Amino acid sequence: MEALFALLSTSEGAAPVAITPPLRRTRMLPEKTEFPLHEGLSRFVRSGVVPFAGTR
Amino acid sequence: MNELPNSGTISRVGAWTATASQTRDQHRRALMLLIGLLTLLAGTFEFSLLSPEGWSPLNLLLFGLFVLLFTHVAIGFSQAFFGFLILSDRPAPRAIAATMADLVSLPKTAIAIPIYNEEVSAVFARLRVMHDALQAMGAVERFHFFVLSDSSDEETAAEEQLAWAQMIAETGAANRLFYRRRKIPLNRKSGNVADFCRRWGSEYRYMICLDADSLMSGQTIVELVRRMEENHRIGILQTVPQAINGQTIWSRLQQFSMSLYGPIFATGAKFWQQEESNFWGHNAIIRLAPFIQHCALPDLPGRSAIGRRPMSHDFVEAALMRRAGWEVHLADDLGGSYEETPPNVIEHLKRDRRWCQGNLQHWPLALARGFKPVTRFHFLHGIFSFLASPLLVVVLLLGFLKNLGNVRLNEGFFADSSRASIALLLFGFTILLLLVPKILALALALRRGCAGQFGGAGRLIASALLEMTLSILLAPVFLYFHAKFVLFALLGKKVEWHAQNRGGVDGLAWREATSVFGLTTFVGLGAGLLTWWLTPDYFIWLLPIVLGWLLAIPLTALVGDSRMGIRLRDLGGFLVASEVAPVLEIATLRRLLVNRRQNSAGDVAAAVVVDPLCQNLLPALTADDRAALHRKIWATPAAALSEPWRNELARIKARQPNSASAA
Repeated sequence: MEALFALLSTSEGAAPVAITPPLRRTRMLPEKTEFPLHEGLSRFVRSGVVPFAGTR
Repeated sequence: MNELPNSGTISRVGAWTATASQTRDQHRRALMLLIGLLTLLAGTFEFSLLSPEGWSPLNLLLFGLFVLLFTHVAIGFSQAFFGFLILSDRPAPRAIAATMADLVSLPKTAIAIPIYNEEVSAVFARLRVMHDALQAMGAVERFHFFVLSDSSDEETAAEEQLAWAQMIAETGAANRLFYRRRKIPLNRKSGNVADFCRRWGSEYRYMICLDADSLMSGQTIVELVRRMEENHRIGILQTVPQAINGQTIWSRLQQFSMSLYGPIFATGAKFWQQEESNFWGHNAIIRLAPFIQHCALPDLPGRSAIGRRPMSHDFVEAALMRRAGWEVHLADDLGGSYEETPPNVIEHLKRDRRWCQGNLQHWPLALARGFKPVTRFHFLHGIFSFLASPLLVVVLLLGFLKNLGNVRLNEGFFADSSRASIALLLFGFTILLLLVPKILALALALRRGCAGQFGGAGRLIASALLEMTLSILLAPVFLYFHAKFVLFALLGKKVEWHAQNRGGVDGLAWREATSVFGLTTFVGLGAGLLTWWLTPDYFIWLLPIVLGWLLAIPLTALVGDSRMGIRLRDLGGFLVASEVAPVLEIATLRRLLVNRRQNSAGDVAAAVVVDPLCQNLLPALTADDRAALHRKIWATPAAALSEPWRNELARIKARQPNSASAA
């Protein structure tokens, strides 16, 4: 394989180019999302008020 | 980095959104009034149908489900009705022409194309068309293209890099065409785009997000940026893509529907949604600063086999953008935005299954704190668009059980002729509401003199009738599968993420149709025989659905056949503007795709490797990629290699026969 690539003429080829631009890192974090109704329902189910609900 | 909303310079395009807040409430009231009136009328029919039997729990349940399902139909109708009224008065859209001043002032914009094991040559053909269109306008320097690969297949990934290198060699786009591959495709497409945002998002004011099968005209790309510049409150501006390049009857049917019916539905949606529209995940422009700041996807609460990360990310991103105070608009008046559609019913259903699970995941978000009421409606409407199918199945089963009881009591189904008339009237009214939007869209096209775009008035009417017939026959298939998808989602069965088959050149084989729709046919046969035997009167009502299930195999095989699709096109069936008078971009794409198919017999990857000019353009090739290419070179027939390579391979083979055979 190395022999094959070594055969290629570098003088004829274009200059190497970057496949991606330079990194400019920034943060992208989720903002807080609250699910009060969902959590309330989950608490209600876990409380055992409804027999067998939430059991697996 | 963060841009704050401000009034900006709203001049020419200002009128485009200026009326939004003033008329929004009126429009919503009008829409709700129409939906309410229609539902009230149908509900009264249903009430008079059920009340003589008394309000048993079964009848109460039936009535509740009916009202719920009918409201869903009424929403679709009302939206289309208002869209029709608006478009009846609106002149046909003029061609956009960006001025040199527009081009000079354009901010730097990224065009992001997330891909996952796609057909590489087709992706790069579309990319090339957009690049060349912008270049011809003199605007290309303002845009950077990012191919964001999540491809898991090493061969495909190597081919992508080579296609990237080849395009750079051909266009000289080295500093504006970039390629990034993630080795671990975390969080799928939304994770792919978020990864881009984290790495390079701060460099650009806007990102035009495309799908692998998306295409946009240069004018539309520039116009999107211009509209964002002129209204600084917009966070997301969504276009209404038209389907193109349909080969099979099914994909041609969809492109015809989207072309003929799409405008009144989109305009109707814009009528009441205004600055609270939705994001469809692609063919849209996004203001990156607020997107990065506010639109990272939250984890959903609870435990789920589907996962806690939203699958249908687009609705959630629009919701988060709205929550942060930014506007989300639908550019219903803007053409030049295109996509391709699934080639057959099976591929369509695969996509629906993903969407179904994604939409059903949204219910905690619909009730989460801080979202706007319209956002909650978008979530609930998306959920109900799939939930409607199992609910309809429940209605059908309850109807069957009720009639079974009536037969035993020797009352027969609708033995009372007046009740039978009401039932017929209600059935007709529902069908009318489903068909009238299509008839209105047809009338609008004829009235505005657009029939020529569909091959002439005769062909347009014939195509519309064929579309309605096929849609009615295939609707029960979707009913069956959507009900199944919802059931699977509730049982927590996970959807695998597969690349889409976007081509459909070979069509849908009968064997595949039989294996997928065999059970549907069997269910149809069973349901038909059972109702015919036990409740013969009810059988008549169920017949349209049973017929669709019984015909599922031949019908899906027929509409998925590309040869039949091409034959239908030659006869003038389902013609659309992109075929009758294609714009330059579509014509160029078609030519490139044909060339690609002609060349596909050869090995594209090896062809690029044997071209010495491209070798230096491959710095990103890993040792694995090189090894894969090495294997390709050795596996490629000598006739496909250029003379120096053939000679070298022969020399190596002669020198090391054992190692050559091992390779």
